[in-house]
Amino acid sequence: MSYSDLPGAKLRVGAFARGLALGVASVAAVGFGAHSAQAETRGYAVSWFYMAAESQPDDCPEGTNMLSEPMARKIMTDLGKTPAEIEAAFKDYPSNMYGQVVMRGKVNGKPANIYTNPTSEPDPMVKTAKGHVAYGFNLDGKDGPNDFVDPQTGEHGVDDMAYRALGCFITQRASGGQRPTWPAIEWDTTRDQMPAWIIEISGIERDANGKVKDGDVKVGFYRATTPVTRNAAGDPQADMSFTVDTNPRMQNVVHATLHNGTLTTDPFEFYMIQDPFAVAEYHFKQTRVRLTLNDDGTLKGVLGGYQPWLPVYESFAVGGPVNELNLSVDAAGIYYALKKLADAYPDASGQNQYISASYWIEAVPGFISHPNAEKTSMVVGPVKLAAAR
Amino acid sequence: MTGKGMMRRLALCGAVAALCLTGFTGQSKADGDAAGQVAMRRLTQDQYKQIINDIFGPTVTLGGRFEPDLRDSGLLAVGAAQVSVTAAGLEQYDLMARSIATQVVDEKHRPLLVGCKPASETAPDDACSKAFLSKVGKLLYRRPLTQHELDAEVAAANAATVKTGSFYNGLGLSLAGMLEAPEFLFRQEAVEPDPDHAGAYRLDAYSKASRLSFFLWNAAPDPELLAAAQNGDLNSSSGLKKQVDRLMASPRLEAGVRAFFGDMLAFDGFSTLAKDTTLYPKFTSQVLRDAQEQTMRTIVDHLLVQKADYRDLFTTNKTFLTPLLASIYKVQASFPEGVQDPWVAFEYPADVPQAGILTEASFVGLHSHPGRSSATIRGKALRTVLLCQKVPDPPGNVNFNLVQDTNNPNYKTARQRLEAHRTQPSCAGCHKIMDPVGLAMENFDTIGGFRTTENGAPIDASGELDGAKFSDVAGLGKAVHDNPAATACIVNRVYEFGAGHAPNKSETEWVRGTLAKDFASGGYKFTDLLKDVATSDVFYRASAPQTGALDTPKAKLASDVTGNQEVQK
Amino acid sequence: MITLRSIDRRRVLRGMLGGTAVTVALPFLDCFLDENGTALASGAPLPVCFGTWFWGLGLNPGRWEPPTAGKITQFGPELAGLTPYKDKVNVYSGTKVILDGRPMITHFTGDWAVLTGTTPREERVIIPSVDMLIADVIGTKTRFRSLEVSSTGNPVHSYSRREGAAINPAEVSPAALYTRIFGPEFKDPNAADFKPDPQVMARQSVLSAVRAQREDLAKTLGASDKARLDEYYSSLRQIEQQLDLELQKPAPLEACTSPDKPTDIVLGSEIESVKGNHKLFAGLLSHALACGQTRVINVTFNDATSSLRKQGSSMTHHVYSHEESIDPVLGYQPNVTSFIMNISGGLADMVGALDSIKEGDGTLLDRMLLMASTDTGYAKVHSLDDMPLITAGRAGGRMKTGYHVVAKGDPATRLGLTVQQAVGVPINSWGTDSMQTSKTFTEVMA
Repeated sequence: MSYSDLPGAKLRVGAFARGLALGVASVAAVGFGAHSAQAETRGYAVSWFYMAAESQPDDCPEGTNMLSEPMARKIMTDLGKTPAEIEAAFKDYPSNMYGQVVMRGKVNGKPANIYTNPTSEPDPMVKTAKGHVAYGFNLDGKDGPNDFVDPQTGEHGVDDMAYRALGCFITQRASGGQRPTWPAIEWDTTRDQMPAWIIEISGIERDANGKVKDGDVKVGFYRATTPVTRNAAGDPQADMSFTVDTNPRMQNVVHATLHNGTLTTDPFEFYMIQDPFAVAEYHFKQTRVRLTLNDDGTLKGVLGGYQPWLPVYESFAVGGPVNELNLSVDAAGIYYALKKLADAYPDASGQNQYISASYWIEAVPGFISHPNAEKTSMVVGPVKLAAAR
Repeated sequence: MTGKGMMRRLALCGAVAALCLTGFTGQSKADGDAAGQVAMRRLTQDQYKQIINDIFGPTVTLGGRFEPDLRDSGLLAVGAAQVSVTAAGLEQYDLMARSIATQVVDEKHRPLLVGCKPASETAPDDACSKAFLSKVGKLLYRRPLTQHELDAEVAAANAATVKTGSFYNGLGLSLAGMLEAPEFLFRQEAVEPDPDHAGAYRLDAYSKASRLSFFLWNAAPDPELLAAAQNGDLNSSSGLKKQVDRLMASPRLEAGVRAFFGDMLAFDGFSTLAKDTTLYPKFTSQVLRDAQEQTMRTIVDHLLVQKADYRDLFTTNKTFLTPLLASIYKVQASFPEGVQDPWVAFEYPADVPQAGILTEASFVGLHSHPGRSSATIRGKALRTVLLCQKVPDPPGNVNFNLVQDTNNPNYKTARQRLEAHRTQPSCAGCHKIMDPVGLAMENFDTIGGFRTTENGAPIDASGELDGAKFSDVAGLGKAVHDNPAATACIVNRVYEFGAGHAPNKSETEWVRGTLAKDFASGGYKFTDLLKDVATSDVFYRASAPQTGALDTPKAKLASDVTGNQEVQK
Repeated sequence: MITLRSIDRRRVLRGMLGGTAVTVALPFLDCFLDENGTALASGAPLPVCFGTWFWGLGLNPGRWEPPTAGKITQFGPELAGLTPYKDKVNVYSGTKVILDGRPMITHFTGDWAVLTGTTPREERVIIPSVDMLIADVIGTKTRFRSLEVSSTGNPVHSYSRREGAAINPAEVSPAALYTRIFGPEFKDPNAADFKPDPQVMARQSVLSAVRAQREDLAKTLGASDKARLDEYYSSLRQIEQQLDLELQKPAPLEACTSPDKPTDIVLGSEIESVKGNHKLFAGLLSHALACGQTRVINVTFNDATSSLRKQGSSMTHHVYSHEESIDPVLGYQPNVTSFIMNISGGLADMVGALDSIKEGDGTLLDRMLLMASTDTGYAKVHSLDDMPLITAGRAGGRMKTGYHVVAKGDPATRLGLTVQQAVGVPINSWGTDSMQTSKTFTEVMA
């Protein structure tokens, strides 16, 4: 399966053309007191991007998934280790365990690497979230029994099956404005070296009092050529200048409607490279984004869409036993859960390749400039998606 | 003070606010007597470091701390003539001296820095010691050693060698002794009768060389300048001019200009500047360094490269930025990629208030509290640093209960908070001098970030400086540009920096007269000002010496390395 | 009996060493200590030590002094931290600084009038501070004549001055102070053996050569330059003395233990840093005193203009002192008083550190005299009335402690006079003009 075969390809090309047309240096003026009647363009650098959650007590009626220690014990027991052997191994937990849990799969009776071969053990049947509160959008237009209600907008029929798959792992749960542990670590650890994600909103108009007016705007999601810089508090420094990376695959431009200070985009296809430590690339179809323009110049909002589920699995698997035992996750279990709960874009065999997911976006103000059309960065070839199983 | 006395003083201050500003800080307060008297000046930190770098190269590290310099008459260069060396200070000089000397004689450095080799590494070697110590001594003491001095140094090296069994150790210890000796740590200026003006005195040639070199390069005289002193060139106006031209054409002039402005603008305050990082997380230690460098680059470019009008420093919209500074000022700029902490030339658009060094973080940030801006501190700094004006001390036992509005303690903007400074007669007299000036800079928070509101209320940056009204900080810059005190101040400071004292009566006549007039008619070019001072008679003139020094026969100078007898006076 | 004066140690050592490193025991020093390690065998007690402790912006009037004069039964709330030491401290209330027509230089006049005895005419100090006068008498034989520290991170925040305008710079880093005192050049008084270092002797001969140039140099200088040159040579004398001491086996001091090297807390004016670094300094200085490295210490908790602040707050202690309203119920400025409580906690830490070192039947505090002073009686209005003054320690028995002395309207120099007399400076009066006094606080003299 190649990139251009995907249904969204046509939309991508259109977006690309629009991206180029935005052309040369856009001056992101921070108004020196003047409230101009003309349309404004504002730039931002994304400070946080992580799976959204508003975890509920009734998400996991049978309790959350096993913590790593009991999970490790169970794995050892299933592998046939005696209690004495297990206690000895636990003396230097978890480093002594790493070797054991890797090869717990079985292919043709022989031990197999569970991460490259998650189906080499039977489905561990991890607990999945049963609740009905999650941020996001109604992507398929339907309101079914597996859908959620968005606590911010009240929207019904919200599609976020990724939360169902992951929401009973404690390091994926969060509520009340907290960030879930693992998604936050993933982002925070990579942002020092990862070129920044930047957002440009153009066509903003203000009334006589300087308040943002309702209307149409254009939103661009780009990658910059430089990472964010950390300030004294460890957060991204605001008001830095960024240049757009001209890689045509990361020119995500879409129309949005601004109402009461929050914009909501039309559905679009979203593609951004992140970092192989987390998720190498984020690719969403039928993406919807809503962003609130805060008074202090920051942005906060939600992105919802269908993303390939296999890379989500891979973001857990790539860390192998270190992830499993330090984050209390069962990678193989996640594989099965994501596969079962994937809810869009079936392949020839009817297996859904994409899963609905919602993410928080937070951004600080920044300046964005588009380089001359002549100067383009190296175009990266299409990324081969791993074959779904 | 009696009640009546206090009232009288307050009334005076209130009634004649403008006159509260005394013009120049006048005489140096050293001993109440002669300014214009030569005085020995302790090397500043920067001078010490520069000299070590010049003589021994950049790989030799210092390994100690300096005691604080003293500011007098607006400059550390003048305070240098007031201070001595405390016990704690000398402890550190001793540490540094031994650290430097150990490196100079170590195996890595000795081939280049010592040059000669002893006959035996475990015994004294007079020839090599003499050669090294006289060569280094001349550069350290900024004049040739006398025979007596050289003999003493060689003897010290020998004694140390005998005690420790190592030639290089002994040599190093003798060098260390020189590095902590008063002849090195203090710039002494020797005086001789002036043959061109009967009854008058001038600096001797080596003292001229020192004064010139520290003035233009903030460093000790290089061998070429010492040679010009030795052969009498500096005593002729053409010979002096030749050296001045050489020093001014050199890239090292930038170091001298940086040292001057670093002193005048009180950048030593940066070493203890702190900002609350919870309130202002943008302010990292890198920003601190960038802020100083920004102003230095702006000044160097404007005055040395563009050779532009000094007054335009307060109105120019050209500056230099790093990515972090651009984020502080909230301006968009593009930077070359892959470069660590890149600097780019930047020009503000015409319609923004940011213009001139008053709006740079080094001014508004240095003169502010850790957690918020301060109109009073900034206003006072503008007066004292840039206009050379003095602001009187507050009256004693001010009763703040009278000024506190206990019904509404929460004012939104600084202007509102400082209301009492303006309306209470006992305060207004002097605060009138500072606050309206500082309030113009309120659009800049304590780290130099631009803002249009404070706590939701719009900021009013209008004010007045000595009669010139303005509506924003750009107007303030223009008011400073137009204020005659600004140019009078820089002329005075430049002279003081070089001379090490506030000008005395005859010097003042010339400084305020010819020097200032030429500065004006030449278009306020800073390099012209430097040159005028460096080539003048007045700069090298000295008052009659106090001691019987001239009755003492001049010490016989030591022969130099090549055996050439140095000029005996 | 051999007296210290009759032997020139340097002469002796030169003869003995002649360039070779030899382990030397110098018995004539050992015999001076009695078995308890508490006194020199001549019967003289362990030497008296002195210190100043400076804080900025005073206290709230009426909230610090004990309610009655005489023996202290309790303190005002702002000095309550000293309660565990109430028998070892004295409090002096009611004194003032008299301007005599001189300008009121805020956060300057008050501090220096108390510490130098003279109300300054302008913003510079040209006469020595009381600690220097005392160090000249009791500090001439120790490795360091005095040690200055500041908890604010700024070396200029030192309240110790020699003559002339120079500040005795304060150490700001506890780690650096540790290295300076207990680093490679520390000679442990309790070490078993001792080897004089030929390198040290070599350094001595070199510094002699520096000193030898003095005559020639001074000939060419004017009067004020000569005075500054003299100051340089006084400082040189200190170095030479340190080298002398390095060549001698020091007398054992039982209470002397080398502390651990501390790690600096971030240097700066944020209150938690100041408190933390101050505590480290208090410990180091107590050890330095117990180990005989110095007899005079000068500690700054916060400077007279007090840039103390709390992380996340836009207001400093100083700004609060002028802008904060007095709470109608409490009767004082709440934020200002919160800083005050931190400061007096610091003073308690200092006294506690001195008291924690056991010496014989008592503690180091018993032979110490610590004088705590500030710049103002009431910071809100820059008042110079009712200056808070506190001493801690018994000065080796020369002082009685546990008293509140009320001296309404008297010049604050009465305390400077008293402490000098207590440690043995032979004066009958101190101070100039209206600050001159010859009235010792006899209530507290033993």
